[in-house]
Amino acid sequence: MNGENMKNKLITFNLITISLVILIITMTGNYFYQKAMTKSRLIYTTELQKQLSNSFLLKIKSVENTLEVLSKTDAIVNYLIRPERIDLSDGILTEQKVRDLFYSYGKIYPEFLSMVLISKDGNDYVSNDSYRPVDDSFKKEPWFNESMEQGYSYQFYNAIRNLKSWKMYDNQTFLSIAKAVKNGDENIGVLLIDLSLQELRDFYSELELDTDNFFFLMNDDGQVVLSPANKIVHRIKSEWFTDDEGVVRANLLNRKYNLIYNKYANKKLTIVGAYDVLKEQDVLKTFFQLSLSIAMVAFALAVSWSIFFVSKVTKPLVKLSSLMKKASTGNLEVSFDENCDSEIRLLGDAFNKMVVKIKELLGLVYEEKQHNREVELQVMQEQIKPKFIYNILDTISGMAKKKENFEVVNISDLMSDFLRVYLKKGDGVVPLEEELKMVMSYLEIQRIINKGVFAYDIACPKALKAFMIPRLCLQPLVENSVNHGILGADSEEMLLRISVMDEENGVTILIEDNGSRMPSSIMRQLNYNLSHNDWDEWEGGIGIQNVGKRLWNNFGKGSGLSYYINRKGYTVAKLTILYDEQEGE
Amino acid sequence: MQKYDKLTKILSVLVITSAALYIIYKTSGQSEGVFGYDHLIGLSLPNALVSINENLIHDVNLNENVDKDVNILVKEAQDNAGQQLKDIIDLEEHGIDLLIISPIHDAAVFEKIQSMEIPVIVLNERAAMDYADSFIRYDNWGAGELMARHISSAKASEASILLLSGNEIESVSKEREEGFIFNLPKALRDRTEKIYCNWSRNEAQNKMKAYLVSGKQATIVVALSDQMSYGAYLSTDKLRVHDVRFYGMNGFEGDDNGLDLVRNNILDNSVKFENMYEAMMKVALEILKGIPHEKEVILKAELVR
Repeated sequence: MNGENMKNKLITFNLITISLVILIITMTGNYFYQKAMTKSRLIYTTELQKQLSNSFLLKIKSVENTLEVLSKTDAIVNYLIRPERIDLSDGILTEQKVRDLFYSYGKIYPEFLSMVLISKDGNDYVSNDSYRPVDDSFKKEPWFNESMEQGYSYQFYNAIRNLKSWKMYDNQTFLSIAKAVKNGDENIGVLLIDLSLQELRDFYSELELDTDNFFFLMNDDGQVVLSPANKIVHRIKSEWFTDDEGVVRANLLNRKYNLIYNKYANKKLTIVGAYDVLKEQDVLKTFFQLSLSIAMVAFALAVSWSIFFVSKVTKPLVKLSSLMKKASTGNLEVSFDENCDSEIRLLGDAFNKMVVKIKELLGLVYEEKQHNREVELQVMQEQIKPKFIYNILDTISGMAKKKENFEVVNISDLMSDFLRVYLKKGDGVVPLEEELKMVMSYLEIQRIINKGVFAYDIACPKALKAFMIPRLCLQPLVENSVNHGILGADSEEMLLRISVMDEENGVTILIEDNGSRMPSSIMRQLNYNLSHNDWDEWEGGIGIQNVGKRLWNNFGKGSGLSYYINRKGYTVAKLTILYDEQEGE
Repeated sequence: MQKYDKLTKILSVLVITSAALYIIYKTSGQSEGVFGYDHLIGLSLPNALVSINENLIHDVNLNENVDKDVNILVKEAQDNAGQQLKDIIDLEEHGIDLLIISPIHDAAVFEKIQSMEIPVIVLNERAAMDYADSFIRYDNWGAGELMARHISSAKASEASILLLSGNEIESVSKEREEGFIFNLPKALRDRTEKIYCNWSRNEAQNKMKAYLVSGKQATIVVALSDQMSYGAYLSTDKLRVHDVRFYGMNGFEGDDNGLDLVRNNILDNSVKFENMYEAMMKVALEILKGIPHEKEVILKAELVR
């Protein structure tokens, strides 16, 4: 998984998580809010409808009470029980008393549009306002018969009843309440009051919460009897209101309404509250939009934060990944220098160290290779040189023999012998005998060159000739004695003596000369350097230094080189070569 | 391929999110619910107690539950033009889709009909027919003619006729009256006397009483409605005047209506018409549904014996 891929996956994961959380919160929030709103609306509406119903029933009750009182008055009863053949003036008087009564009540109750008293045969009637357009008995009228049979009749506006008003209030909203008048147990007539519902109608109109929400009253015939004037109410079907109470969702004029209804007065009246769903949902919609906006903002913030955070986390990883890629292709000049969290910082530091380490290793490998190449070259040169030199020396020797110059022949042969040992390839140690042979060749050459100004003596027990000593460890010391001791002295019997002595697990080789003595300060310094293997202050030749270092590094305890002047005044170089016990074995 | 996968995932998240939001938005509403009346029709009549109007209201009430898509609001103006204007405005406020009106013969009412922005069907009153999308009337002239020809053929050459008419202004009265008078033989026409009773049974009864009390006596009473004829009958019956034959028009069913009166031999004959309610609703629904409709519908008359 590369950095970008990880970043995308993290962002996708965060997106899904955030979306789900926000969706669930928004959805459940809206759901519960809507539930609470609906419940609250239902409770409020039911309570309001109850109040409306009560006010309406109170009004009816008040009329019923008035009818009850009126029906017991002498004027009413006397009119209804008057004899069929009554004196005209008595008849007029009886009627007038009823009219006076109606007049008085009409003044007290202006909402009583009309009052009518009808005889039990339905033929005679007295009213303060109404008249009978068709001269038929009221027995043809359902409300009259219902009152006579059941005691009461309630009827809302009916265009085709055989009773008209001089005041022409017929087109108003009114309720006719008719009551049978009793004389003992006998029904002797019907008393009717047309009650104006205008006041209630106005009240219903004022109850409009806005133009689309309203209350209306429906009777058990499905007739809308009280409502504000609007374009919705008469499109509502009474058949929807089947239960005692409930909520109906209705589509009216392409709008949705919630109709909350309750039935009262023995289910004869249905009060309905009509609420425009869209208007109702405006609140919900506003809440929904608000919550959605908040959700969107939260979503945007969360996503931004998520992207920022993921980017912040993955950016150094992406960079690290890129650097790793570069490093893997061989570019080790890369370095992770982002300022980031500690874990990634640690990772970066580890990477940086790794790169540095790789670089160092590669440098070493390179140096090693270079060195190997140089060594190989040197070996090649060394392989070439000796042969070439041997050939030259052989040629010189051959030419010298022809010309019988045996001194040249001798020196050429010595030189050849010296070089054969000197340039010999092989291990770091050689048998003592071999080293001594090379030293002897060297000394012979020096003697020829310097006309035999010195003598030399080499003493080595036969048993020690095979002892392995570091290669070229004697020649530099001998050369040093010759150059600085023998050749620098002005004496006729100069001697250089090499003697080998057996030691436990090694040998001691003494190289003595009676030439010029080594200055004591130099000797002191040299011995210090040799005993501490510290050559920082050493300004002398490299030969002694090399021998000292090799003995220090490669041989057992007690091995080393030191200089001193012996009792005879010889300058002595003491070379001790010891092997550790296991090594020696 | 990786890019494609990434795009698919992001799109999936967006689609799921959008779908969920859409569902939330939709479910924040509720179910579809019931549907109210598709059409609201206003019916404005001059007087509910005039038999043609009363019968129409009766048919409206009778068919209330037949057509589930239509609701009819009925208004009665009590023969008052001002009231009818108020009724029309009230019906408009209640959002009627179509007005059916039997207009009172009044300029203000006609003007109002003319200015209506919804379709209007005019019933009966010819003077307002030009303002209507459709005009429906009884074949009043034909009814008068049928009655005239029937009486003429009944060998009533010596008879004297009392014609009880509606009123002087409205076209129903005029047409029936003219159809009757025009088709009477001249001799009978000359022995025909006319009284206006405003379509009222009571008024016909009272005027008949006055007519008889004044010493006049017609052998035939022809009323332009069965109810007026019945009112006249009640007076003659009360005053024990016999040998008078009664004829009416409209021929509606129901107690004390034309067909009942004919069956009870109170009326000799009546003239019935095709059903106004059915014709009115047919045209109204055609208009409301945008179906081509008749501009004038005449309800044929038929003699009822």
